Amino acid sequence: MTRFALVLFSILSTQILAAQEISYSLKPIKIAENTYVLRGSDKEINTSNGGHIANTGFITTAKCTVVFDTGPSKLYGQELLKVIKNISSKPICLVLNSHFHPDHFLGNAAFEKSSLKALGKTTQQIGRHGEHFRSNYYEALGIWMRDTELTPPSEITKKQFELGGHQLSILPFSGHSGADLVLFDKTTGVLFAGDLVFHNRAPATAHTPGIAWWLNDLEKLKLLNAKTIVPGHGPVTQAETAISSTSTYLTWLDQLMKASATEGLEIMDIIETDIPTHLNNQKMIRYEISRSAIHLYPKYEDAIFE
Amino acid sequence: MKILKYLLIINSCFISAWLNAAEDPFKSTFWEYVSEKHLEGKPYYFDDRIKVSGPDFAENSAQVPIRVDAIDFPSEQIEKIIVFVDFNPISHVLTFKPVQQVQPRFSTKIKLEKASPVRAALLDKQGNWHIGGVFIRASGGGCALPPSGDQQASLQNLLATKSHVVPRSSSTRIKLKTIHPMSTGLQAGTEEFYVNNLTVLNEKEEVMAEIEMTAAVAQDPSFNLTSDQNNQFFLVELEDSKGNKAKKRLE
Ligand SMILES: [Zn+2]
Repeated sequence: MTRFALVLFSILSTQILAAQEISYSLKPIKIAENTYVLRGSDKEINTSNGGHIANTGFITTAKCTVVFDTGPSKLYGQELLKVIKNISSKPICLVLNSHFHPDHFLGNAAFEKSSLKALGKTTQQIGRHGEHFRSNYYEALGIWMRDTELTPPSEITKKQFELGGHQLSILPFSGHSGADLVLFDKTTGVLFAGDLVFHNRAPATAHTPGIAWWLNDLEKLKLLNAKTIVPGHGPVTQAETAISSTSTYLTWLDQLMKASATEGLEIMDIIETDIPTHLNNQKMIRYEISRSAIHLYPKYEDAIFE
Repeated sequence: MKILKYLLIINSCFISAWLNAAEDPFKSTFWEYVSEKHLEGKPYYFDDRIKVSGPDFAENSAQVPIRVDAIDFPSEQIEKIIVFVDFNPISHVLTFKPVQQVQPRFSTKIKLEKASPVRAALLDKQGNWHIGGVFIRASGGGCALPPSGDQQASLQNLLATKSHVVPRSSSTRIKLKTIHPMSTGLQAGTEEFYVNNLTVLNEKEEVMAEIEMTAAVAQDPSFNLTSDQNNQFFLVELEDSKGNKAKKRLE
């Protein structure tokens, strides 16, 4: 191609891109009676996935619809609303945010404000860090974020209730982010676990109060005897499989950091560590190890210092 | 790499010519500026033996871990190693002088204003610079929080130093962390205040390594060094920009 043609081509393709309507092209997957999931991409947020990396979902009860997480942007929230309208004509009565990470709540901007609910601590965390997240996302995703205003949820008070034929419980945990809400539907056995559970996708540990804490939460989740888990990231699967995917990784990471701190190793040694073969199925593992090394490893080092 | 070392022994002039790749591998727009500022007008070469590593992205731009490793460079030929960051307002981060019994290899945490090449330049005894570097993106995913750090907290225990010394078969790992705000003075109402000298000594109080810092080193500076001796303990002497001093036994 001549230089002239190349320039012409790049001008044209930019124009085509600008003219094209961006869309998340959401495809709901039915995972149980009245229960649907929108699978996020197991990648970093980027301009092709528009920030849709977390799973979202909803339960269309006979009375009204419950939404679990709202995705990364107003556009996402609007498309999620359309998906729901296509499946159920009932109103949306409850929109939950599992925790304060931006891939889970920035879509709030598309929903009725009074329906938005989260744990009390989550509302505080969003108040403190929400604007910063929103601007991070604008910078990384550009046009996907248009009109996304920060729309904070209010604290949820009702934790156990029957809704249109579904027995629902909302349970508070803290292992992933300090305040992690899960939604358990006893009627279908589906547990919306938020980011307490990652399945075949390496867990993000930047804001954990401690891995021991998180592992303890996973033990409690097991006791719910859920059938199916909708993890925050990674494919929907049997509860046991998803929980053990998360705990296997976390246990390995915890041991690696403890042993490395004892040996006097440094952050870069963690970042460059060899990944054991049994963890090869964990997507984004290099990326998450690097983040964990930076955020968590100094705590392990501090514990060893004289 | 083996061949390279071999050639070096035979003919160091030839090697200098061979290494002469004067073009910045990062093609940084600031290269001309930072090279003039830090390289004292001496000849320089981009040299694979000077390895700088860091994460792909900073995650916390106030505490970015880096490692500088010049273990493949003949240690008796090393005068000093400087670390600088093209796009930092304070581009010079530190100068490391290995004196004796210490490997030309260290890690620390630095501040990163924005995505930038982070470079280590080794000055050899002939007066030539050998340069390596790594490019670090300033932010990670969208979940990164703004850099935090309570500088007031560091004032409480100024120059208090914690350490961890791990003897190995023929070397010793030394890890130390000293409490200091390391203020850049770039924010309104703050003044520059940082540790400027850190000296590591052996049991006989002989200097092993000297590190000169700027406020571009992260708050509560931490260093990992490796001694090629099997010492039970080491000493560190610290001095900050206001003349506060401390001496601490590392064990
Ligand atoms: Zn999360």
